Amino acid sequence: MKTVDSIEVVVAAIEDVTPLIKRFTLRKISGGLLPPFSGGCHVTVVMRGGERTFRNPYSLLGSPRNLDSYEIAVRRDDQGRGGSLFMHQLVTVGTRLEISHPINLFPLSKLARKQILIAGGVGITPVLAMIDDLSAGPIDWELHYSFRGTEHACFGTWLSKRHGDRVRLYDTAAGQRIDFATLVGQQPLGTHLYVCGPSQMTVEAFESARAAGWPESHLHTEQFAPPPVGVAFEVHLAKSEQTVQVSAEQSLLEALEAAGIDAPYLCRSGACGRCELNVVELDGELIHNDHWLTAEDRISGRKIMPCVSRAKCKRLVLDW
Amino acid sequence: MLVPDVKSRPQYQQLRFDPSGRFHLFVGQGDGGLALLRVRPELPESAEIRVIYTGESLTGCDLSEELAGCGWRQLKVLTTQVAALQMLDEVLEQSLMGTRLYVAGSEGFIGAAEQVAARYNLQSDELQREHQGSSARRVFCVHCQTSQDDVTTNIVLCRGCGRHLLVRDHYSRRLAAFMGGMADAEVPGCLPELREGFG
Repeated sequence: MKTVDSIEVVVAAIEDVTPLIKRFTLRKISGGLLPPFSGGCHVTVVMRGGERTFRNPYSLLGSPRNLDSYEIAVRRDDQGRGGSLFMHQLVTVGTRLEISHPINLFPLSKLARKQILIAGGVGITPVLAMIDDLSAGPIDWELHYSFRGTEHACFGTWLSKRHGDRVRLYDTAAGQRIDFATLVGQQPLGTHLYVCGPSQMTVEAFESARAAGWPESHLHTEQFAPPPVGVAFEVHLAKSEQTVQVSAEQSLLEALEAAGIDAPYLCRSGACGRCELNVVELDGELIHNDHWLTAEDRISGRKIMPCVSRAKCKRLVLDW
Repeated sequence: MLVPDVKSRPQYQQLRFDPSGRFHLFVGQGDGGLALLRVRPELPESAEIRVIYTGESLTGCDLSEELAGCGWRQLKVLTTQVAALQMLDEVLEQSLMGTRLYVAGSEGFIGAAEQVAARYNLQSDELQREHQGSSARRVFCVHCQTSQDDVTTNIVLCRGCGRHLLVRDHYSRRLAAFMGGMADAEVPGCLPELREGFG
């Protein structure tokens, strides 16, 4: 059984949004409408490179009311693992790609009285679709968007034109910073805060909010970080009696996939919990990089999230 | 049938000061005043605290005077539950993120206060509830949608449609009431034994 259905799409347009960010428009190869989605959704794009297959999650930034096409934005990372370079250098108009169904791990609270959206750089992508949802509804909202340099202001300028005062722009190259402490200090009850940007931005925003007494249930974030690299190790699958080598730059999940194993996953960033696997045996220690397992789970050493976590060991045995 | 461990059945805890909050609003009704008197010594002097209390209750437990005597900076005593809930609404309207709400009283009062809090999107990590006093239930008739307060028996005559209702353990937070369904629908007139269930 396939755990994740995919959709065959073709790249219909590519546009340079900033010197580093390209926007890709994807249409269904078979024609017709793509599945519905809501603001905050992402799809996983399968990129079959020469030796490696990348599966990178990208937020859908187009309007949830337009299902003729999906739009994603990809920031080129020359030091990255290669997924973004694949998209920038090898994908052209007409390229066929495989994507997952949209999944929302960063949904807007439907019962909020006010929504505060905070975005940094390419973190604006899920927020664009969220704003499209919000601008059609009755809930008060505002966006604080931080970016570096005027050439990166593209999305911000466009949003400012459409939504006026609700959108505040901060150019960090001009020394402009979001004053989080002031922002979170005077918000009405029932306000929710959404942060999508560099991890330092999320930390700063959430620390300010907590210091002002905000509870966790009103704080939301999403970050697609690549799985951290480590040391190579061997994984043995107890039930299916297979042995797979995980290289230093490969995630455990990627190694399983490369060996043809249909392991479950959704977010590929340690947030959703879908890929959780049980550990049977280990001759070293687990390196947990996820946001899913509880402190007790970690202490028990019986569970691992293969999308971002790995082991420092010779041999890891999983219950699969 | 009365089924124990129904998931919707409200769980209550003892009120405890939550230092992660910036503003603290205590709301008490009747016997719930006992909870307020108990937590009073634990509260830091520097904390921003408001109290709303009403002595109106089924048990007749009115602790207004005791509460007035323990030095709250901002205490409002109201004569009725309706007035206390109205005041809660007004205070929440003006409140900022960082507020913690603490409610103590009968099950019916807590439910009604939670309905007010829900309008301001307060979630479980911003709201504590302590049950004190009567366990009488507010019952919602699933047939005619009339609610009635202070039900203490397992079977109750609906004042809306006259059906005999079996009071179930299924609780609706939205309606702040237990569901009541016709008790003798299968065999008219054949009712379970009437018991005092939630006095």
